[in-house]
Amino acid sequence: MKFIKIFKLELCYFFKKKINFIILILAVVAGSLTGYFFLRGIMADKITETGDVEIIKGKEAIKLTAEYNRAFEGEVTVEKLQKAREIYINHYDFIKEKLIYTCELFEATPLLGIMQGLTFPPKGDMIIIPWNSHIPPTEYADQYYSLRKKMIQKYIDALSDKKIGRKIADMEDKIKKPFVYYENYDNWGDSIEWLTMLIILITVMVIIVSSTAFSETVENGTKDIISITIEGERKFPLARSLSLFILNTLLYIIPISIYLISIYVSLGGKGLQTSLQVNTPFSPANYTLGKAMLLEVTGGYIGVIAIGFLSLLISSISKKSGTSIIISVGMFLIYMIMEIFIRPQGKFMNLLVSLFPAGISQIFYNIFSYRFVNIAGFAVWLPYLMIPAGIFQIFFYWYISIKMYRLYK
Amino acid sequence: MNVMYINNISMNYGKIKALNNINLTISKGLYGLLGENGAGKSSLIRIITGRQKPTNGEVIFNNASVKRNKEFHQALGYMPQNFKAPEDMRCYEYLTYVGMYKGLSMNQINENIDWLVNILNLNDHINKKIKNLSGGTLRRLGIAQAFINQPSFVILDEPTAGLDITERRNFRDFVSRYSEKNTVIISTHIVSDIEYIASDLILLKKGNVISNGKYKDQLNEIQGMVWECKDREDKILSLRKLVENYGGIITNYKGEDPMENQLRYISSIKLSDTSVSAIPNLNDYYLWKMWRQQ
Repeated sequence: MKFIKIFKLELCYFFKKKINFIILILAVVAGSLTGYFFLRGIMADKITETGDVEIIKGKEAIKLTAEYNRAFEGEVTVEKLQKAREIYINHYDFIKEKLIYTCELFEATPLLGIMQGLTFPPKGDMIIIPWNSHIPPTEYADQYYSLRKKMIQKYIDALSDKKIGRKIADMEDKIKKPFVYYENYDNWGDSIEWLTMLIILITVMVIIVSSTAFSETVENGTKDIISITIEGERKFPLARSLSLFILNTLLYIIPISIYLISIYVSLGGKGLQTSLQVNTPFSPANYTLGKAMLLEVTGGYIGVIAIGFLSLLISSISKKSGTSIIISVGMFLIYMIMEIFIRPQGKFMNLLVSLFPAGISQIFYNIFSYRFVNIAGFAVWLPYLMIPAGIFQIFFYWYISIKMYRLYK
Repeated sequence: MNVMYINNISMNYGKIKALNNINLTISKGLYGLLGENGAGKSSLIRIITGRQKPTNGEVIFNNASVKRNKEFHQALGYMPQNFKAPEDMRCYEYLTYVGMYKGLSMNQINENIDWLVNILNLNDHINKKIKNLSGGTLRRLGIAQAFINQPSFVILDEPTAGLDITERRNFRDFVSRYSEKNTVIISTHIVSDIEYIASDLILLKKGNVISNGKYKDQLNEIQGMVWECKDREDKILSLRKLVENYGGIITNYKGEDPMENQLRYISSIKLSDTSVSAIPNLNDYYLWKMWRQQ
């Protein structure tokens, strides 16, 4: 019998299985609700007719933010930064040490935020502009780009590994300047956090589906029957794992698409062209917000699929699905606890946590870091290493799980 | 004709010897594989089906090892001891699923499902979900899946556990007819499952084959040694002691009626005047063989 026939059979079985169907529905609901709650939670400051500030939410807030952003959107030139500086000074009551809120000030806020970025050095002894939580360093408006370069140069000079220093300088040179920003760029930026949360939810669903795929065949007797057929012994593990791959892909793509489409429809796509550096000067890649999101979506997919196959590997050596689920979910929870609460300090452990499948699905947060790994004399930026590491793990866990399933009788 | 040679098979689980140098030849007919729990029946079946690698020896089917032997796997029908199936599936879906893996076309599968549903009386259950089946019906589904490819070499491990009397009779009739042209191995510890229908018997004890041969020939071994006695309780109790002292074995005892107790025993000599010679049955032979190997 041709492999495609067996593959179709397993695919049918997978989609007819009640729990898989329920999880698929749950994934759709998760994608929709994440999009809904994110959009509903968007806030903006509105100046009322009496001159007071009113906080508005949802659709109205999105519209208003877009309006504010349009005033200065496009290239972040020194002239625009100086203009923003003037607006800030005009709106600051130096006697009361208080800002006077107007639409004009809200329009200048993105540029003030960009200048604020200069106050975030990576290490204390590299401070160029001291941190002040209330007042943006507006006096440096005309030196914004030169100061930014100076900051990065200080960082590079402090590095003992000169190869990494050169690599950072190369990457910095490739970053397009002046930076640009477009309407709703901030909301798009915030949406990545919700996207990451959605990926974590999907990961749990994928773990549950994957960690039963092989072990259930021991529990429900299918392995006993299928493994004595010549087609079954040779083709069943591959057909089933391939079906799982399709199901996991759908479990990822459907909710992520629902989420992204709903955001795109509400925010529009212009904000995605914003330079990644408008929020922090420390980002070595020449990325726009859109590219960063694409990297997060790709990393998320690779991470989720790798976790799926890791769970399948656990399933291949488990006799009971319950045990398999507990081990797989437990591993993921330990990772999350380490990531959120412990944050491994050692360089090696830190690297390991990032290259573990669950770490790969958090790739976005690594875009803002100068983390490099020396491989065969080359300094490789960590996000560029995470993707191939994830792809390698997919095939590695996949191969081992099939081997173990065949071996474990 | 299919021929299987089981050559010098041994199976050790650590220090425990589950099978000890088993040699058998299996061809057409119905083979009863009898033995107490833990005798090594299931280990032997796992090795025969190629699901377990023996510590020593090999299983040859039509001149090739069973491992990755396409001819063998196509000819094989198998029902495991504790048959289970995915609970979410309907019976016909499950039979179709197994049939596809056995390389059958949809037409063949449908024809064979019709055939098996009638024979195993599954008409009322074929559209039911497996989780809604009773223990007996699930067992019949297990038998059906073993026969879905009309196999010429069938292995059934404890197939009648959970079947009622009528279902057992139907099953015996079916496999008896089927084994006229094919090989059927029934592994069981229930002697009545294979009584009168088995053409050959293989008796296992503690991993060793203690008897192997034609059913009739084996029963002939105890021809003239089986006795039945009906008498008062006190006389029967005395006879019991006598049987034990003379190295005989009691195969049946009924003691409800104090005026007429019944005793069936095996002994090379008649041990009471009231004893009459009886026709040996499989239960007698099984107990006699097991007792002799102690």
